[in-house]
Amino acid sequence: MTFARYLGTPEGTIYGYENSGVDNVVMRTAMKDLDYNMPHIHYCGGHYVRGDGFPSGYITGMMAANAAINELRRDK
Amino acid sequence: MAKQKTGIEQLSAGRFLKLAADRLKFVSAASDAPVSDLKDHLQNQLAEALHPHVQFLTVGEVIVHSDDMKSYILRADPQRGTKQPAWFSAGQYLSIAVFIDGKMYCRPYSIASSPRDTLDGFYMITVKRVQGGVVSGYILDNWKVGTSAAASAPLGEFTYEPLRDAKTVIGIAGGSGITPFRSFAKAISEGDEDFNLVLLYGSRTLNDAVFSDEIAAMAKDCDKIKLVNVLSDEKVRGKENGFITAKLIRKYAPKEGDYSIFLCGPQAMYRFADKEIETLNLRRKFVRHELFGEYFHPENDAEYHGDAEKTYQVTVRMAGKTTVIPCKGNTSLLRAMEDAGLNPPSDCRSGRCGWCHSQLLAGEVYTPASVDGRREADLIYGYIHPCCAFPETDVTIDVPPMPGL
Repeated sequence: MTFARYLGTPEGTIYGYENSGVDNVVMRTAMKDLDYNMPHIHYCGGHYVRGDGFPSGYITGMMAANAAINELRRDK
Repeated sequence: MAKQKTGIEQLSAGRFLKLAADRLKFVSAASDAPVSDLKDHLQNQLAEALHPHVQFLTVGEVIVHSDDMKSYILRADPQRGTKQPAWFSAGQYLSIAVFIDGKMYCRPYSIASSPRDTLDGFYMITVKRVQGGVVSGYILDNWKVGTSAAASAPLGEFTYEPLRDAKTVIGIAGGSGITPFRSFAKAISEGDEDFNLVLLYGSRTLNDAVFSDEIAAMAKDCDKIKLVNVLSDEKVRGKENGFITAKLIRKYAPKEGDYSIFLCGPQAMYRFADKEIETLNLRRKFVRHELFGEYFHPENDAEYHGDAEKTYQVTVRMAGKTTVIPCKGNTSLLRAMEDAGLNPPSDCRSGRCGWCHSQLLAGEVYTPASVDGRREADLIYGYIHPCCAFPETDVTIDVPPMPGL
């Protein structure tokens, strides 16, 4: 209930989109530029390419932060 | 026997390269209709019922204690989408939003009714006129049966927690600070809270002691509740006379074992009672305060380096819009934003809840130590609570917009 309150996900689930068949971590990663094509927005967390779990959250968070920093440096 | 292929040898580059095209086909063929509506999920329904962003209420009844103090029964307003008031823990408050000349002002009011009353569809709050106050006067002079009101979900931590608090609570109430204790007493008598409440209720005269008869009646029927009137300006047989001192607390405290002290009242009462309580040498967790309330007169503090009478320039960035507003040195940034009609977010107005949490981008502000509820990360990254931040120079702040209203 607390997660439902703060995250607004169905039943408060903390997991991202299910990994299934052709829609798997490798293919999501390979096709991330196609799937996530809004400029200046960087994604992270359980719904992003690596799927759910703490390590995925940390790693995609780091990836997003690095991407944003690189972008800011480039724009300077 | 033919050699069996294992691991990487089984991979076919052709099949692998096809995966991307297969996935694209799979994704394109999928329906773009939502899998389900959040409203159909039990946990989401529960979250919305217990923690609504906003509760729409209507004044159902006005109880007049005096010209300067009235209680309001607030009923859920299903026409505007609130079917039932949210359940709460005795001791919590509602942040009531009122619109005066198109400007939104929020003020916290303790809930005086019991949690069980929400099942009958109502809350009760008690409003006392604050000299020079904007909202209390407006409510007292304008609210009547049928007036529409908007409130937050129940908020606050002035609640009984059996793992932390002692089995006996000495309640110290001053003036309209009686309201959460009425809720505690009613919740105990209705069986929703389980602790012994010894209520030391300070007032000038017995006549000023609102809800005293009602709580006395509850105490008569329930041996977990005890009411002690402490009258400062009047001598009445069978009632205590004077102020709530350490000696008086000791007189009514359990002779053996721990006890907690819960305080709710005006700031002057906290200042007096805190000094008395210090001499009792209680563990820190056993002394709990309701919100301090808005901080006034920062200029009386040695740590304040601004000019109370000077009007500073405050640049407010909110949701992509930048507005420059005036703010006097003795006025909180929150009040200045409200006066300018910016509808800033606020709930507790005492530096505790974090709802007005904003970033200070330039300039200096003063936050009194007694209401500084910031964490270390806030100090490092320059965050402030505008409800208790006073400008010492011109400042620029980044404020989140108020959601829900």
